[in-house]
Amino acid sequence: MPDTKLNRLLIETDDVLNRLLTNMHKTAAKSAGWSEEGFDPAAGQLLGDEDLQALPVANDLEKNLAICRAVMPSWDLITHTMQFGSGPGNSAALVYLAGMTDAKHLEKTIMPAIQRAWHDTHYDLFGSLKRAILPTSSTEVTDFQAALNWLLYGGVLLFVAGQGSALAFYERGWPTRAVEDSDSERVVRGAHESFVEDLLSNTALVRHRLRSPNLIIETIRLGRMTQTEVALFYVRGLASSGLVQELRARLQRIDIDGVLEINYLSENIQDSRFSLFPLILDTERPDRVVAGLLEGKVAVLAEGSARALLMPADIISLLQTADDYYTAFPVASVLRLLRITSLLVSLFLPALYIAVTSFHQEMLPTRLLTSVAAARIGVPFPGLLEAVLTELSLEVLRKASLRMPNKLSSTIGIVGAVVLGQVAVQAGLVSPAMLIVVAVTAVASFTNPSFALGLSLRYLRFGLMLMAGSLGLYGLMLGSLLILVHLNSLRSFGVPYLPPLEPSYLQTYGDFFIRRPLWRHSLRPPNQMPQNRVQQSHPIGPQSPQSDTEQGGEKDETGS
Amino acid sequence: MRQAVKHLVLTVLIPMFILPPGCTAEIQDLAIVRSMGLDLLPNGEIEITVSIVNPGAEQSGSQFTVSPISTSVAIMSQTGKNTVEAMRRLSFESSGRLYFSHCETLLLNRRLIAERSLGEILDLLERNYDFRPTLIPIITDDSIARLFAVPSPLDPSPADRINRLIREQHLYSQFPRKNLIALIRSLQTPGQDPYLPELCQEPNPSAAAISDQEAAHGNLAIPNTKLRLCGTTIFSNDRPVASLNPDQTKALLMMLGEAQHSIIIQFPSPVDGADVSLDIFRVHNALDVELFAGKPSYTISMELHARLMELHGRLDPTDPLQYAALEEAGANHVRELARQTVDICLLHSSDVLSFGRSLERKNPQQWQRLSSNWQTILPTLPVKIAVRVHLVGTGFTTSNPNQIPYEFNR
Repeated sequence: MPDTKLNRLLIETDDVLNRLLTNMHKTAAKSAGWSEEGFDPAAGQLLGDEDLQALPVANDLEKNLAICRAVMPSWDLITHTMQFGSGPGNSAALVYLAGMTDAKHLEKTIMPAIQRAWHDTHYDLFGSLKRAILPTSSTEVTDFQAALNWLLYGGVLLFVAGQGSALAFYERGWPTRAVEDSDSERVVRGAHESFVEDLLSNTALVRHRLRSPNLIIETIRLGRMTQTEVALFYVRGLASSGLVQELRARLQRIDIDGVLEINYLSENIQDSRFSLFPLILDTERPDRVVAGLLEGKVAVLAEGSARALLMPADIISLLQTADDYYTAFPVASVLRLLRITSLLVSLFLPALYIAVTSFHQEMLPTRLLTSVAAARIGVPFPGLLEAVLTELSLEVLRKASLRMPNKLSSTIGIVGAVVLGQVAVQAGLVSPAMLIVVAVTAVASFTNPSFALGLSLRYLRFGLMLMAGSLGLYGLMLGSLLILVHLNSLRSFGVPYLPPLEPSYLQTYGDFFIRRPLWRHSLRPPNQMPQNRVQQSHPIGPQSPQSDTEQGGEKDETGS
Repeated sequence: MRQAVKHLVLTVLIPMFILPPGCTAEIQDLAIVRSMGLDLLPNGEIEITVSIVNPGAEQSGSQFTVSPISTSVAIMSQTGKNTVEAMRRLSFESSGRLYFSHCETLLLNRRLIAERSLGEILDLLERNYDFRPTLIPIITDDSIARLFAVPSPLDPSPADRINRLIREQHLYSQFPRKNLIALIRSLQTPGQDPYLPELCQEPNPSAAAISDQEAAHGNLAIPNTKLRLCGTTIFSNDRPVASLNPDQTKALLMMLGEAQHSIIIQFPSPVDGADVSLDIFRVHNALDVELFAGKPSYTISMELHARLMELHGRLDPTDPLQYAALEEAGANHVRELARQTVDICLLHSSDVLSFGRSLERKNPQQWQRLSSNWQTILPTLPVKIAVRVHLVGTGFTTSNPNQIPYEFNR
């Protein structure tokens, strides 16, 4: 038995209730200045798993209930005692957390079932319930650590008098959101489902798309206090075992109080912790997770988070959308090129504008030069300051519109349009050309499929603007090179973040600048380190109906 | 992380703050020079004249004014012992920094280049990084300030009119377009002399036909004068020696292989002497040199592909004999123009046709022997000119309306 403070107390008094009340809370209350007889949970100490693990379920029903109340002196802990006969041993109790459990289902289905079981089998209530009556997921727990884990995950504990163990079963009933359309990854075609905050629902969303026994889902509980269920998804035989092991190891190393959102995990497990670039792809879409799993990636989902992490990630996968594969490949390729162009525009346009208007005016066509010069007459700020102020104003507006209630967000739009678009120009604080540049940049940035990448590019844009404002095109090139070098140095779970964009690679695996036809996807990308590289053994191209007919005709002749 | 910060400081911040660039200038603070001219004053000083864009006025749509000088343009002049001094003095008068990167044309007065060598004048432009190598020098006999002041109702400024004139005329191979780099190269290349277009102003016939009152009543913009590219100046070494008229310029461009797109030639019909116009759209040229007793002899061959543009008189293009005669007449006309051009060039010892350069390529030793005396040899060079015209089309119709009536006239 481990030498914990609970066990030491147990040996000394052999009275669980007394031990908990007297030695834990009361002592703490006393030391905190509360009265000797008072009971103050706020002054108690942290109760660890090791404290509860060695605390067995007692034969005494009252004792068990008292332990529950002592360990969790919370308002939402419900203990429902049922007396079936006159004897002291003919009683049982249900313990659950209100709100975490479906109380209506419990009252209508489970409680009558328990009563029927008592009437049918007086001699062995516990065994009968365990065998047949309660939900199939019921488990017998013998210590309070396991019992409380069930309780905290929406489970119900059934204590029977004289029984040194409890039955635990799921009756989850906490409020969950319905599956809705994705907010940040909208598609015109394709499925409109997105993940919700409930892990089980999310698991089902993935599982019903990937109905294979090879889809493996492992769970691990992270967060000392939150005990958040975290699930690893991978396809056996596709995902690299080294990758899965590395991910398991990184997750197990996490030791934090709580995991409230999946970003708590991604920040802790990504390779480079100071990079602006998202080294792990996050998505709200189950179909995208399945596509990643089929490429040999590993996904991580967490309870309470409506996003999934996909790893390893590279810059290419961040620029792809689910829509790309739901549209004919020539159209999807054009859209992808447009998206890449927009991304470059959103990153470089303000910096290029500053560099050209402040340093390299000879690069502008003469008519454009005179137009821009005319527009800037009377503007008191230098180009750099004007650009930075305008971009900052837009950022503030963008943040404000995100935080404002929906009814007021249109007001923000009007304020932005009037203040930025009209008054600032009329007051001569900003030139119309600058406004056009900022507006085009903002619109171009909205084509970026990855929200995280969009945020990174937004801050890099400011850096490039400063460099262009200081050194002109030289500064812009220097900044671009620094970004490129940084991208080249990044790794996502050991995989290069910037894959080799050279002709032979693109010819074989390239799905970057253009979306390759699905019938040309014969090999999985090597940078995902899949165990099985072959995606299609015999990739077939489209065939004309005439060739099909000819083949059919031959068959008929052969058959006849 | 510490290492990364160190690298960042070294690579970004130090160059940004320790090496601040001196070439930054806000775009609205620039005095954008669209065209520039150099003239020689009687006292021997150089006068520089620039046409500067006023962006604010240009945006307000003042380009359609009938005033002699558009308010969207400022014309400024200054003098100095040399070009640099004149430019420096001019910069004191300008409200913004004189910005020459958008200067497309350089007007050079003939007096100036006759007195000072072309190389001496171009030296500044070659050294100054502000000037674009695509700057086009033009020769003129008129006052440059007066040329910049010629109203241009359809262009933002007279300087833009000059730029457009050069650009569009070049498309029709009316006048040469030699930029700064090409000019300097031809000056530096032995056995080759430069040539430049000429600009002049002339009365506008429309202004003479319509009175000022009528123009004002109809809200018409009719300037009294207009700009015109009126020929080509040929150089011997770096001095101007003669001028070619527009027809001779066409022949020069055809012989040099610089004719592009479309050249219109007019000549008498071989049948009845009426006017015939051909559009030459493709020219294959060759310059062959042969040595006879140590003396070079040249043959200029031109193969022209043309379309029939306009036909007067009674020539029947469907008749093969008349068709061949038409081709022959066209060839004779071009040959005659080419002969005039070659004679003028040789007479003034101007090697714009690169006779020396072709000899150097063909026989370097012979060129070494003759190059020192090339100016005197040039007028005596025998030059043969061979021209063939292929008439490849007669337009939308093969018939001659003067000879065969239209269907509806029958």
